[in-house]
Amino acid sequence: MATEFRLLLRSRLTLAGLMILFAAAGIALWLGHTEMQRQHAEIERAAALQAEQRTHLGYATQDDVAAGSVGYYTFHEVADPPGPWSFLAVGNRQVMPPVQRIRLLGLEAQLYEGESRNPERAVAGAFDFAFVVVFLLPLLAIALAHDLLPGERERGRLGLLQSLAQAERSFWSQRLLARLLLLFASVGLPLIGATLILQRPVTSLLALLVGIGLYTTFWTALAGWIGLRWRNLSSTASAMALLSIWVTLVMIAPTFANAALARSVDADLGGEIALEHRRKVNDAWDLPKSATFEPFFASYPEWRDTAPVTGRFHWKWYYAFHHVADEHVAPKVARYRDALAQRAEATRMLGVVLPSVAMQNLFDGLADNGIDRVLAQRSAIRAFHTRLRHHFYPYLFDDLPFDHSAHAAMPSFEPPQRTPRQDALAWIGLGASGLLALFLVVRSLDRRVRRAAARYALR
Amino acid sequence: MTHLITAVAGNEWRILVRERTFLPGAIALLLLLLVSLAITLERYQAVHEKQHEHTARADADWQAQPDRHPHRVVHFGDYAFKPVGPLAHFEWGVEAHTGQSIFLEGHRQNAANFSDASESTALLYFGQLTPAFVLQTLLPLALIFFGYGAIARERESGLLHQILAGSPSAAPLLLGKWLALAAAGFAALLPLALLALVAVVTTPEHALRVAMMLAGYGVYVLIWSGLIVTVSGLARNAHGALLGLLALWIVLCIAIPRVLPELAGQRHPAPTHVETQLLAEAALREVGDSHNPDDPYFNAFRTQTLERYGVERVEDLPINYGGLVMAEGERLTSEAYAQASERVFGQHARQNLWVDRFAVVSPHLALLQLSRSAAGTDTEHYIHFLRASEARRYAMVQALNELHTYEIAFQNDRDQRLGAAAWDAIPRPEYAPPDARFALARSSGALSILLGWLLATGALLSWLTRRLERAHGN
Amino acid sequence: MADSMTAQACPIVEVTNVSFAYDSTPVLEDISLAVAPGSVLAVLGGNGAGKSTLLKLMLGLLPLQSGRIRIDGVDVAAQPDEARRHIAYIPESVAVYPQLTGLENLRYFLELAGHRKLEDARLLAALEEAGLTAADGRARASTYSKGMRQKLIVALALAREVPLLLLDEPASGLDPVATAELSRLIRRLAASGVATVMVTHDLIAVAEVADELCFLRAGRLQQDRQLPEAARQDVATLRSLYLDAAEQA
Repeated sequence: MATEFRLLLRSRLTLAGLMILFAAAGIALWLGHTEMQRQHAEIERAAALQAEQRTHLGYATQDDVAAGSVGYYTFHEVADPPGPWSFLAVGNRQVMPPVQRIRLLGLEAQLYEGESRNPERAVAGAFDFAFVVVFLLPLLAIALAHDLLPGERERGRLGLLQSLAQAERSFWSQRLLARLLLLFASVGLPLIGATLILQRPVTSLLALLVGIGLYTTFWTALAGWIGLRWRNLSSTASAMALLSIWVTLVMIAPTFANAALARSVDADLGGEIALEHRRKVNDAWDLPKSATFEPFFASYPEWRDTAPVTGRFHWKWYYAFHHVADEHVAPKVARYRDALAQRAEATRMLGVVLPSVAMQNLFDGLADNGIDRVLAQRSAIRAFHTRLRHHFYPYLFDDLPFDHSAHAAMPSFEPPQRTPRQDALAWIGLGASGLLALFLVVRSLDRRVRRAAARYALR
Repeated sequence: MTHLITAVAGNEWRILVRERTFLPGAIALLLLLLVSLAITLERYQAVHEKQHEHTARADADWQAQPDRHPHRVVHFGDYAFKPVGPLAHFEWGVEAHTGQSIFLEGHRQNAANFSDASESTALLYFGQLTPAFVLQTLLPLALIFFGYGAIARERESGLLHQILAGSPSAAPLLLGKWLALAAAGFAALLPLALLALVAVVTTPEHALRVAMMLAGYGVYVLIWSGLIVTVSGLARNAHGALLGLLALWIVLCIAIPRVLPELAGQRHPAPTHVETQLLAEAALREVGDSHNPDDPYFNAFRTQTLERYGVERVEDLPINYGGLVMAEGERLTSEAYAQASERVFGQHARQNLWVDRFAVVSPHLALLQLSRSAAGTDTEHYIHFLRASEARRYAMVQALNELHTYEIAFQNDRDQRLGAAAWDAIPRPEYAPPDARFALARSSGALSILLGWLLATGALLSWLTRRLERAHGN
Repeated sequence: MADSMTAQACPIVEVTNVSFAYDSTPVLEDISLAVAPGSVLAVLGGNGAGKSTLLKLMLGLLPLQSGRIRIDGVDVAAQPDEARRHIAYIPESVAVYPQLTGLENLRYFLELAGHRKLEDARLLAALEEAGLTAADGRARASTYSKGMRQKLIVALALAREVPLLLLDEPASGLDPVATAELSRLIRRLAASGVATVMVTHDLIAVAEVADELCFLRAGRLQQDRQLPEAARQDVATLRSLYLDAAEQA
């Protein structure tokens, strides 16, 4: 086994390839980490600016201010700080805002504020650790293992090796194993280093390493298998076949699935929701007050018996019609959420058949920057907004002054807990593909021996 | 000489198409082109229909407004839509990440745009299957598969020596191989050319954009074909040529296009949307607050206005002072927000400029820029849309504030309404995408980088010619 | 090896009624031959006569379709790995790992063949016996000439101490000096009881070393012949033997 490593590492090309993979993994980890640091800083800067604005408003020290004004002018920053593993796979963090602002007005008009990222940067896709593993690692696996057998034949050593090798199966397996271990180390060592430096939990790291190990096994075994199965294949034919598989698995199939998913799952509701919400809010101004209060009191009967609104404007009417607009779009919101969840589920399902997608999903589950996080964040914001409304309603409907204690008691937003989500389907996909590739290799090694034995038994 | 080259090219072409990999490769490429075209066409159609529907709805809503106070209309708002150009069929660019609509209302610039990207799962990070992606990324790979052995295999079999030993120059052989391989690439561009023809016929104003695009892709094919022949001629054997070319492809088409924008983002960080808003609001606090009765800026504004009309009290003004304050407030906020967003645009432009400069290292990157710019689907075109939308928003709000000033009396201001006919006079121009000249600066920059690569490829090939001639004793 | 020395009657190679076909094209038909310890058999044949197939069958690298092959008493079809343990095979074009030194190559190949814990002294002795110096052994194999590579593989055969040597076109690409050295080595091994089978189309190489000759033509084997002493000195006699065999087939 030591000689197998020596053989690989003494080849300048192989060594260069492994070093490049090692460096790419390190750079990707560093880029991901600095990106997350930047997002933390962005959140802090926004929080400081927001606090400054609140100080300027001065409501915290006033005791006679109208609750409606406080609700209108006070923004609450709702942050989505990166999780401990977010640096591994940037995911939707590239396009979603790390921090948003919410006030007492209708939520659905505020919830979908986008982020002003450079679209050209986003469309290029992130160079994160997930990319290095999902895209680049297989390429190097192909480079190292595609000529496992064809290379020996083309260099004229196959006959000698076969005449010497005690058990062909263990010989080729050892060669594959050496390649697998080197590949795994090239990405695993930077990852372990980053985990230790950043002091992330070791259990998650171990699980991820197992996942990466399975993915590496899949590609290395597949690359070796092509040559072992079709023994007359030239190394160039083997390389072309493998690269076609790579292009299919990491480029064509996922992009095709994405296009199909965009078509089949109607998630294109965000724009409609915002549009309808605005229309509802605008219409309310010109409608009789009862058009607002009837549906509102149906939801909140406890405020029915408060003083009726007789003038042209009252804050409680204003916030009531904002809430009624939220309620009006609620069915669409639910449909939108379901559609997105369905998309996420379909993507997970795809991981069962596409190891590339399974690997990406495994990263996504740990990094928690995907659509699931977006949905969790949105529902946390929704809950926060509800608490905020409930805090204000007594002051609005009973016309109580919003004093400093009321101000101090305003709820603040806590980002939802991150529970490490184990994507069972990704594990199935990675496990199955890894085992399948291993099985194919072993079978192709056994085949010849078995065929010979069978012929012998017949005779 | 030309006769010789065409003869060699013809022969090389015959060899190429009889290659075992050629037919499956060509069929796969063609299928991918068709599928991706179908996908983008469908997407285009969907966006087009939705936009049509939303425009009609926004128009109807606008017209169906009841008698209202003009300030209500300021908040009622309006939508602006970015039409998807005909070349977007082919090159979807940043469209999935920007969305194509924006809400316009008083007091604020809106960021509530909906993009496919924010609704996408991890799958989006594998890229998008568009005809542009197929031609930019997969076509070079196919050409590598077709041509890696062009010279290397003949060297292995001894055929190369046999041919070169008996011919006065290696140039016709190399040129012939280059042309034959490029011809295969051009064949893959045919669907694009057809599409371009349709675009030119139906929308002649796009002719220049189409020409830029076709030129870019044509040069790109020539560059790759030349690089493939060169590497094939330098490699010791076919296997080495294939591996070398694949490494080149990975670096030029996969790694660089991802790493550079990332580094650009780190070098020129752009503030978040929230930070931009907060900074604009802080700047506004410094100027004046129209809602604060003791605000020094608006006190001075009132004194000025009263002096201009020679009256003592705002109630005595011949116009509605409330409307004037609104207009002045809008002017101030728009200025502050515009400054803030220009800072963001500036950072984005700096990021892109940084990447553009480095396009020298990868023809793929240069082609990306050229293709998106010419198709009108790059950041520059999106920012153009945002600026135009802001101008439209500002014009709309100020027209309404003017109505407020001149048509609404100061007394009982909020209880008055204007007839719905008044809204028809408000300017609601449809967004007109910029003409081809807008794209010219960026796309011609990219095209000159591509031409530079072509020259370099030509130089490489002539160097290889001399090298081969020396090696085979001519 | 000591066993085979005592059991003189028991041949090292026993090929009995072996036939082989690729798909439906017959390559070998009803081949039988035996090689005793210390004997050198040359299988002569032209291109496509089935020489390489016969070698691969003996090595267990192709499945046996009919007949039986025993190497040192081990049935190749039943225990190909065990049979290979008794064979040192020297292929036509000898290729080694250029990124390893000669010694490292030797050690690696020996480990592959199941030998463990080999002292340098023994390896160096084998190298020396094959005609390579200790300095050669410590140099990278990328600096080796074809002759040196061949010697390295011969050293491998020596170090393995097996009872059977299989040579595929042993003289191909070697200069006359190197060919003579190789022949001397084979004779020395034969003297110590090692059986040798060489397949070749090279008449001169055969003349120097072979005890026995057989001709393979179109998949059929002519009966074994003792090589006439005259033929050892006389190429013309040898050629007429060869052509004679071709006619009979």
